[in-house]
Amino acid sequence: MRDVIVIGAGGGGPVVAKELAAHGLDVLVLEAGPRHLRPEKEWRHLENEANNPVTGYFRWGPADRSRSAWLRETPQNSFVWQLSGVGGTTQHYYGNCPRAVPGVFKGYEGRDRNHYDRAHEFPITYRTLVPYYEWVEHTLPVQTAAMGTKEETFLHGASKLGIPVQKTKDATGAGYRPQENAILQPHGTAGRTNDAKELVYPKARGCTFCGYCFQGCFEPRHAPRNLFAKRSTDNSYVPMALTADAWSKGGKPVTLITDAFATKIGTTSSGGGKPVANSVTWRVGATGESVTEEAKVVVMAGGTTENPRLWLNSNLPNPNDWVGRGYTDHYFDWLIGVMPHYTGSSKGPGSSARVDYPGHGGLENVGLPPGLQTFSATFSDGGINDVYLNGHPKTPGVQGNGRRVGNALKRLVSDVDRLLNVLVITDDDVEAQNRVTLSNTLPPDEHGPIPKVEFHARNRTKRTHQNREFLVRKALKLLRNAGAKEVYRINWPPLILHVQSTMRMGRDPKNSVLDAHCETRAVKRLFIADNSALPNSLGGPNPTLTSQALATRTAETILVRYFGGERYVRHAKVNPVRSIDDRVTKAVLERKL
Amino acid sequence: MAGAAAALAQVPAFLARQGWLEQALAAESDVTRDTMNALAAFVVPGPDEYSKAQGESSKTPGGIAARTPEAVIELLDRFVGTSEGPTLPSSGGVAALLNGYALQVNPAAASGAFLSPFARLKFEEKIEVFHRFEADTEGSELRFVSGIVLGAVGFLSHTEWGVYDFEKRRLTGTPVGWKTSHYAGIAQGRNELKGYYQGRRRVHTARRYRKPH
Repeated sequence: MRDVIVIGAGGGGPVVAKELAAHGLDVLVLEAGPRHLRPEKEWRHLENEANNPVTGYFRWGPADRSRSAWLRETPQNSFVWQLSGVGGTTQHYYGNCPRAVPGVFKGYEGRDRNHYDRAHEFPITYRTLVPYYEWVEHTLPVQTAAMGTKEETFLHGASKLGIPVQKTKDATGAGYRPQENAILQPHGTAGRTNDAKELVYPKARGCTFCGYCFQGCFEPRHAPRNLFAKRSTDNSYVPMALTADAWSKGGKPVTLITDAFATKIGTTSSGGGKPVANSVTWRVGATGESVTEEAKVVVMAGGTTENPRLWLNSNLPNPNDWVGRGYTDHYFDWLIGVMPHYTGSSKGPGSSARVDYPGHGGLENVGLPPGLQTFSATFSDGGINDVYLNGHPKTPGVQGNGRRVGNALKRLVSDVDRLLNVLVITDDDVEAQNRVTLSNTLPPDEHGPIPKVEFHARNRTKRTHQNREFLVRKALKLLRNAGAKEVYRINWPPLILHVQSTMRMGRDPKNSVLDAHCETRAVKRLFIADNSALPNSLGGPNPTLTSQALATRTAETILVRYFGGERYVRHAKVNPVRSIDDRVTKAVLERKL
Repeated sequence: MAGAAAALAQVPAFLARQGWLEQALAAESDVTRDTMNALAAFVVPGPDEYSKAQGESSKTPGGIAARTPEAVIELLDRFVGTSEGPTLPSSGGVAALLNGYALQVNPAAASGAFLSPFARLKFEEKIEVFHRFEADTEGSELRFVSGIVLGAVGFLSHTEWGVYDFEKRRLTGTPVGWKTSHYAGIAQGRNELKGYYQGRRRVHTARRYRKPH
């Protein structure tokens, strides 16, 4: 019997695994997709090769790319951008690591407290989470982003919005700032040359400004895996978890099994009336074999869509019917500014600058290569070329609403390095209607009934719509301030990329699945440690850092509740070991990880 | 696109409800290809005959030169099959939808140059096809397809698909979309570092949230 089985090696699972491995527990990590062990050989800086959602190496599907991607039902105009594989969606994330805004936590008494979704606040205080933020920020590490031209342009526009520069880690009020990113700052030749011969580790260290965060980070070339610039978990927490004995006294390396799709969580009935999780069954992709292992504790970290599916397919209890409900996605929108000068939009990290409007959400700049840039201009709920708008009103002050198609599109993307994109990240309300259930119209796949992801974008709450429109106005103003000659509002449908809160923790047992320590209310010894555990959409900030901070706290809770350990983060006298520590690097090289 | 698979499974039933299924099943693959050519020209026009015929063309190469029709057909068919009902390739199903709406928008498109009614439409008429397609599928599984198909064409037309050797995993030329978007091409890194905003390289937890010493 294992001490702990962690289901999913994405943004959250490896955090729990690393923390518990450091304390000597026997941890098994299961991952449905592949582990890209040699990214320099396996990956390319090419968009179709990487991001084609059916055939790309970053897709929601099995390791064998000749096999079909895994299905889900999405009965609306939307796109669920989910990845399998070690690292999960951190493989393509931009490394943005803002903390949640304090207003979404219990005990917040700011004057704007009623601007937030109070009915679904965190069941803990912001101050409680800060030490865990600091722990993760030190481990990854999270650093202030360096700028390229697109960030200079964005921040110039933001500086005229009448709000101050935010100079702390915390979003204490409206402000603009460079991102705090899980990307190593550039050193040596990185960011200072186009010459491939010079862009080799250790001549180049940290971010080389290649522009391919979304295709997976394997720069600088020849760096040890844990020293690639972007701190996706495949480059940070997973190497640490696999080498725990090398950097932690008494540590025990985790066992990682890939191509292992969890299909059932088993329980016993010895929990004082509640079932107790005690096993996990998974399907081996290559052979179709079914394997079961027992564990003292089970951690679900398969993602915001897959966790509810696994719960329901395991026939676990759902007494308040909130499993899968309350899906938040930041109800993104997208504005494209055409600038009179070079912006370098296709170069550098995906996003290194942001604006926060607590109570409404935020804005961030996003740079893209041409395929994704063109997708961003043609994915819309707002019609085509202003000829029709699907019922949406025209936005004052923009040159176009909805998709661009034909020569209007060609003109717009005729020079990708003169564009400035602004992503609108809405502080959206938790709503029961946005949810994951099991599809009853499509047949099950080899892992059981498939998930159905439902979003009712046009029927979202008044506050959610008002926040989005507020942010669109600010984005337009920012782009004009920055000098944009033309601005287009694309009016995206749900691009389900920041995914949160389908297995939410909460204060109220009537509308939450988890207690304040992320153990499920209905099944003992079963925890959740990814974005699905978040109680709300954080007020707009990108979710990964907060999920990782919460996962660190969850690991502590597991240690205390079930293995006789003590809390160690808040009272730590020294900083945690960093994922770029020499001991980790040495073990990664010696073990060819 | 995994979502597309689910939605496309509903295409035959939708075609049957519209009275378009029989014609769709009888259609040759050439009709599908012709429709996809017209779709690629609609999203990204070029100097080709489909673009000229729709009344919206361009001097620079477009979706057809980028081999986008083949890419879209592969995307739809290679991995996305219809699970039940009459045998109809997914690309054929989407083509049948576009051609069904094309005849609604302009009945005269039933005959003329090209093999498919959709290819015989003017640019503005093609917009109207999508207007109706989006409206009719609202609230149904097919809303996913009516929403995503233009984005898929936009994406594929500006990636390396048309000049990529999938066996050797390398480029055989410069992608059309890279040329028309003046993309600098791939690189291991760029000389693009401009420094740190206001010279600040690190920030800390705000004083009010620091733990007491």
